[in-house]
Amino acid sequence: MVVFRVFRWEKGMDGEKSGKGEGKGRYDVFQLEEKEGMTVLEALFAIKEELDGTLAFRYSCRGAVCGSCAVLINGFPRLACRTQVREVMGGGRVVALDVRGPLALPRVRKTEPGEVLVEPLPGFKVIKDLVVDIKGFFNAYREITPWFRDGAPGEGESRMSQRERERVEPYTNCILCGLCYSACPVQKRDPEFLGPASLAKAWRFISDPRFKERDKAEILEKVDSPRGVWGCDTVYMCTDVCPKKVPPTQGITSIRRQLLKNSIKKILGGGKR
Amino acid sequence: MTSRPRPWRRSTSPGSGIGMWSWLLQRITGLLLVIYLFIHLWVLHYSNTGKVTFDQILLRLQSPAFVVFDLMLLAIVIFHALNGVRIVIIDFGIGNRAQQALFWGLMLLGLALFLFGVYALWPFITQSGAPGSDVT
Repeated sequence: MVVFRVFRWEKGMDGEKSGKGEGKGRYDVFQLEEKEGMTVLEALFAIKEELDGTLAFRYSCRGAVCGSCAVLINGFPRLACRTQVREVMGGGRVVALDVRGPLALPRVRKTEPGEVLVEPLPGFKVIKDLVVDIKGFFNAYREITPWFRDGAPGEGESRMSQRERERVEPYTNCILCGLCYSACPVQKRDPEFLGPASLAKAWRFISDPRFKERDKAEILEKVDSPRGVWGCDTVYMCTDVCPKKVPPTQGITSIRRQLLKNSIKKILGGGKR
Repeated sequence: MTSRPRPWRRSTSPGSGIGMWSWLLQRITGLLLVIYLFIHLWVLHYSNTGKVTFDQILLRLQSPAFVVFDLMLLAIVIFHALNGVRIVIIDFGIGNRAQQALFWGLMLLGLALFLFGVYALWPFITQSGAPGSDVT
């Protein structure tokens, strides 16, 4: 048997407090038969189908492609579909930064053996239970304008060397699940911060040789601010939590290096980009 | 818990990220150094009214509290400085892939520096044959 402690909140429950620092909402306890290979998402389905039909959570592909089922499991941001119940039911302590406070102090979550704690992603407003409002995340993403402009990459074939492709590839794996955004301590301190996913995607296009210089300059200008790459504290939380092994911190520091190079070139070359 | 192999593993287990801990410690040591700075200025301003001599400093180091304080200060400064160097290196876009190795490498260097500091303070730590111990 495995016990699931699941965060519940819906409109109208505002006043309810459940423990220190937990804020609004309550925790419901569900007991399930644990099976080999069972994921946390499957467990949530079992709860919804057999125990409580009012439980709300997001899902779509069930195979770590869509990024919809991002939740906090035992205090750590993960994809529910990619997390084996057996892997997280051992109990113990998890220390993670609590991005709910502006100081982002570490918070210890303790779970008993045979227990799994499921909460909505921090850093987002809860809509209901495990469903959060990801508008801010996508607004920041759109602001980067991470797409090929009209007429680019151009007609016919646009060749890339193997090395160039390898450079871009890790950043193309992003599934926009928002785990990095919710794990980032800078994000909470500064809600205007564009966030790891957006900045990683910015580097994905800046480092793509098929992307036009003019468009690269446009994106570079967008991220050249404290809201952009200069806001990052290089905490590597985004890189740690990414289920697709995208390294946003590396992308951010690569953009910084590019900006620095451009500035030096400008100074030395008399305004030439 | 079963010891069966897990079908899928994270590259890092939750909470083991060097980045998070180094970032937190950098803040904490930074704060401690600011507090220390004020103590330092206060001590300089109020307690050393006379002429500062080498013997006076040695006399102060006879107090175990000062030795402990000095060792703590040494550890805090070394960590803060070396992790600062790591962040500067990372900020230049270098060593990103090896940031964990970079951290441990610099910490090893820090440990060596700390041990050198302990070696220098050894006579005062053991309170044996400290030069200037007979100064009144």
